[in-house]
Amino acid sequence: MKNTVSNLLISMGVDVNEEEAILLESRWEEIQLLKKDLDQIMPNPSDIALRNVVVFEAK
Amino acid sequence: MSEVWAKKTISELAPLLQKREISPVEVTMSVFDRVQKLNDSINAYISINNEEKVLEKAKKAEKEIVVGNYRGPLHGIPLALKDILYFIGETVTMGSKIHENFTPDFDATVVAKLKEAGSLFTGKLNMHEYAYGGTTNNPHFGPCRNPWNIGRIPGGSSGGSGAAVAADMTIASLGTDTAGSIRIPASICGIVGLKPTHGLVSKYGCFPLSWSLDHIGPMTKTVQDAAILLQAITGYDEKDATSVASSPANYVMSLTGDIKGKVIGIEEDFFFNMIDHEVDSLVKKGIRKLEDLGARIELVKIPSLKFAEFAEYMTFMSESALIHQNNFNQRPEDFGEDVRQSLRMANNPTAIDYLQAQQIRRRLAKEFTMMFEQVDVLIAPTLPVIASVIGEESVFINGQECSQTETLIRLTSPANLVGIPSISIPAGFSKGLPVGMQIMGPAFSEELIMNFAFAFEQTNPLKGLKPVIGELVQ
Repeated sequence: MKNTVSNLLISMGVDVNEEEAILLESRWEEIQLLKKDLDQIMPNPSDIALRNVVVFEAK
Repeated sequence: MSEVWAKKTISELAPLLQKREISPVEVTMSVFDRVQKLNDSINAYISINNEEKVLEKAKKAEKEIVVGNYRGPLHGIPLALKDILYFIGETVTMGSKIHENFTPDFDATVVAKLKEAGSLFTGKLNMHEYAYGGTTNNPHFGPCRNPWNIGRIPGGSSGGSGAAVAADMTIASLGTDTAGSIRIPASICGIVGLKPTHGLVSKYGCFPLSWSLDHIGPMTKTVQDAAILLQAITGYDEKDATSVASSPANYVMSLTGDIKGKVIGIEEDFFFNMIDHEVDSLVKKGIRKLEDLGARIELVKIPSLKFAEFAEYMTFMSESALIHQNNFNQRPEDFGEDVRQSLRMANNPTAIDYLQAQQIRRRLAKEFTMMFEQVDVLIAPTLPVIASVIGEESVFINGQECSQTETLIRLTSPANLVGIPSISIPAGFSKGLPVGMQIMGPAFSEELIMNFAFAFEQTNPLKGLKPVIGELVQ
């Protein structure tokens, strides 16, 4: 199910009028286009390099 | 009071203060005179400190110097910082209505360091609301204006800092940079702006925009001043989770101007794509000047830059959405219209979008590392354009209409994504407005990039020109 920008904001309780909704949808589509062909340069899952190291502070 | 002291740099004033040839009181009064004269035109200050109280501190600084307790080059120097850095007991607004009465109960680490160094503070500088934009067209405190042309933007989000330094309304400043917010106003206002390596300067006590992209750095009249300020504010801080312990460095001593044998990388596919013709020409002329000084040029490729914009948007949108979540849900009407729209958009990235962005960042970091094995620095325009008219939302690049926001952050955000240092320095003028050039280097190479910047600065790209305040050129 496609979660449109407007649906998401409405579900959060944020008011969006029709004009704003059109602008937001259009802008979001432009941003999503920026990752076009991403799967062609990163076909395998790449590590995001977040280290799970807990540092304990000395008391 | 003569304005002559306000027009000086830290490195010009420091020896005069140390030798007691001038007093911190004279310098501070000179700056306040300039602020009173120009702030109605430029609107660089959100708040101006009580002059009497600051002069009392200036007198105290003078007494310390007289008895031989000289703290260093910032002792007795009046500064003004972006209104996002916490000062204990003082209102810090972040350029917002929501925080208009916010009074922190601690100093930011950088503020504490500058106080320890003996700096004085004349007020708090205008900024784009919550640092969430590149124009400093602030709906709550009024637009900040470019001293070179008051009908044009000073850039942002540290626009007040850029304008104040350019107009000699402060001797120097600190700004913050998440997608270019130090370098954009530095380029547009014709001053020096340095985004250091991520983690080099503590962000404790700085209101965040996007934790993994935020940086604090100097905005100054000269490269030497940037080095002096950087020296004062670096250092490991356990209170900042991203702070990194780095090897001691002497940034000022590194400014020799000698770049013989160094290699300059030029990446054309991204950094020289869709650039105003005059900006392109000026930056390439600047690079040739560096070649004349003994450096050589190599062309490089960084293929993942193609996805840098997506990674920048997904990262700062996600992180900023969380930072502003409560206020956006409870009182959205108190944000300015542009920030409110940005926050609406910021709630859209999915976890997959954010994780893909981090994968791109890792790949970019690897490509930059490999590139820096071939070359010493990477040089590019700071911005594809010159300052636009206040209130415009789109800009034209060689006749093609483009979104202003995307245009402003396009060339600066890669350095934020991979955390490498980048300094913007003036490269010349286009249509009477400053053009900036950025020099990027590997992590913790601030000495190297500042030395390149210093070498270029000696060629006098702005020909000693200063803005004539109040000019409105159509």
